[in-house]
Amino acid sequence: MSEPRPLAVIFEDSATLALLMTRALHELGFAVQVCDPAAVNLPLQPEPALICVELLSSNSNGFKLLRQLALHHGCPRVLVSASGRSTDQHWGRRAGATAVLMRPFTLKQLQGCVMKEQML
Amino acid sequence: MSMAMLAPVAAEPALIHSVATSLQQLVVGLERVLKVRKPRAGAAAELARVGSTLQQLQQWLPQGHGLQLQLVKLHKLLPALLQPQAPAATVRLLAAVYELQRSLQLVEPVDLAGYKSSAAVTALVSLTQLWHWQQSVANTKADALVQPLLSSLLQQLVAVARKSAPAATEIGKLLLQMQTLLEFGDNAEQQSAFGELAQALSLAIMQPYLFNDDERIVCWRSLWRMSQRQHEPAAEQPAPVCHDLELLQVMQLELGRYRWQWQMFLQQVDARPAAEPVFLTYPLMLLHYRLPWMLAAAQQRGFAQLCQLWYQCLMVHWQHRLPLDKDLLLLWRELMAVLDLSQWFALSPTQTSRWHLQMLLLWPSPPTQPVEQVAFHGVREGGDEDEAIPLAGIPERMSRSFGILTEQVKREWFADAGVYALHAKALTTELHLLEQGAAAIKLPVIENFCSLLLALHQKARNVMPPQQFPAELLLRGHQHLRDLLDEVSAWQQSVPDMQLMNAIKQWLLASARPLSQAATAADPTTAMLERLHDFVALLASFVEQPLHFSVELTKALPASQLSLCEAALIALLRFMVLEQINNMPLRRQALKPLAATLVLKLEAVEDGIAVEITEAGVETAPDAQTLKRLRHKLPDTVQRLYCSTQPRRGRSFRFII
Repeated sequence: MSEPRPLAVIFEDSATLALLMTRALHELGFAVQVCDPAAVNLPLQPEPALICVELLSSNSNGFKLLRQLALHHGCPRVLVSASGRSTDQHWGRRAGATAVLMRPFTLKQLQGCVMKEQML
Repeated sequence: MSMAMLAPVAAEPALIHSVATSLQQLVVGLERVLKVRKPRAGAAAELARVGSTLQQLQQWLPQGHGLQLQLVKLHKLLPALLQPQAPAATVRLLAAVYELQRSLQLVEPVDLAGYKSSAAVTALVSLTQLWHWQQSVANTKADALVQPLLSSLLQQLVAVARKSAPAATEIGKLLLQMQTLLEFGDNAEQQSAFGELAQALSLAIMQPYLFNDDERIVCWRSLWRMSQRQHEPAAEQPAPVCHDLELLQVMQLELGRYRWQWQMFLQQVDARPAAEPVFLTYPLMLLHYRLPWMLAAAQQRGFAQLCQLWYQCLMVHWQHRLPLDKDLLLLWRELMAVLDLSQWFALSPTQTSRWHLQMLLLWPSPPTQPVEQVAFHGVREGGDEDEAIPLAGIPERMSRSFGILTEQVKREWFADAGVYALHAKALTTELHLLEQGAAAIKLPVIENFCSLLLALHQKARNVMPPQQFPAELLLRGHQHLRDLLDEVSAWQQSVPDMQLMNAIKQWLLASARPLSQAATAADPTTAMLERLHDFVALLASFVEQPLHFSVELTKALPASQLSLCEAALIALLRFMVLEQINNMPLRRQALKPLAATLVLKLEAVEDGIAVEITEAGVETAPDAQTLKRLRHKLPDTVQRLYCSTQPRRGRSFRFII
């Protein structure tokens, strides 16, 4: 029997972008769970191996969410931003992101980011 | 018989009459067209026809034959006829008018200044002038004229691209001129290649982070080749097809939701009075934040690039709280009409390129800032050093700061006044920086909340009996500030917690002693300082102006001088606060916070007490007459009242009593 895949949790309320991220993380060997960023029950069960948070969503704020997640989960936490601003890098890390990924990113960049965080 | 087939024999009366009648009919016809077509969309074909008719007419016109009147009428119609959406037709029309004018040998040139109502029209007008400077349209081979102009425009584009913050309208203008030239160039391949290239080029200039170096090089090389008239093989292609059905289904559902949001927005826009400004809403901003990446996933590269730039254009509105321009709204309606998978196959590069250029030309200019650098007071470690920060660099500087405010603040810090005292200085230093930064980049919610929190800190640090220490308010205040900062950093609208703000204000009011009730400290120096704090707090509440007041005391002061010193300080503080209010517009212009920061230094010296009050951020000294009046208000024993200013540091009043 094959080993279960580590769990990645995505906080994203755009179905399309969530689907794209899910596929990318599947390719990297994760089982993926998509959550609504506006309805989070903490701590997450089961314990994730990776958390990806989209900066902007309809009824939530990626920075705030990361602060809460950082209190409960020590796994790598990636903030995904499409704003194009360098300030997201600094503020994302202040808010509890272990890495900040700026769109557009390739699968290779996502993989590099995840692997780096897992090794640390 | 066609007019073009006739030899230009100008003197025959019947023919002249016929030409004059034609011109008159043309003008009347145009007037009719303008009356019927409102808005003027679709007049491009008429314009082209008018242009060629005028060109044909001009060779038949004799000198001084009274046709000027018709030409004057035509000039009056021109501003309404100019079509930024149909540049080639417009340039042809203008060119024809020039020719006509030259034939009539009019001394007065066409008054083009009146037509410069938009960037697009300005570009067209200058292009037409350029065109005519070269030679007449009829006798010049188009490509020979186009190539040097294309090269020149390319050079201008390169110059624009080198700027650190290139203006969208400038790029739009240059690209529009290029497009117009290419339409004249009779080079179909260049024309079709240009559509995609124009998009790629403006993106490469305005959003270089979206491109890697190789892509940028290819983009510039293509343009260079085009300007050198080496044909680009990229013919207009139909939009690529995405075969990922799962993705398309999910996307179509999501786009349906966005279309509904858009309809809701439009209903609101259409329901309000025409004069009322329209502002972007958060759901629509979010839609455009996502759209480029969704479109890119569905292989709609050209449309995705257009939407990426559109998002940036909307962000300028969002960031500076600018109302949406009427023309921009019209363009937006056009764009949103194709927010459906079934529409994408019909999108051609030419269409997206047209939208692209229109958008660049409608790009809003951010409000001009009166200063390039903002002086920050007491922002370095220790809180007493100053720094000048370029305005554009403030968000970056702020995002790097506030390690204490955002990450380290803990409940234990506010357990009691003793523990709090260990952290108060570091907290207030960051709060001061934040307050000034928020004022500089116009975030009034953050600025006001910082001022309030600083007032709470000031009171908490000074004269508090332990049982009144506002631990809970301080903690809640800091937690709320962090929430506000997260909202602002994510471009969301931050709404202050009014209940909390009122609680802080009420606590500040309740803890302020009335002036009639003397401070009770046993030590006379401490009692005087308490009274001064009370006075400043009362003054601040009276004038509804936040004030940060702190005192630095090196050693005990001679008791005999204290009452005079206090009287002098009260007079001086009153003057400074009132002047601060008078100077409020200037402070706002210089992007300084509303709150005034006053630092009082007291030192026992040989002949009394040396006093210095520094007012951060004020760099103008009062004139001699004002200083004289101020001297009269101070006790007679005050010696040598001076005022000096230091760049960035502020101004200081000094005296010895």
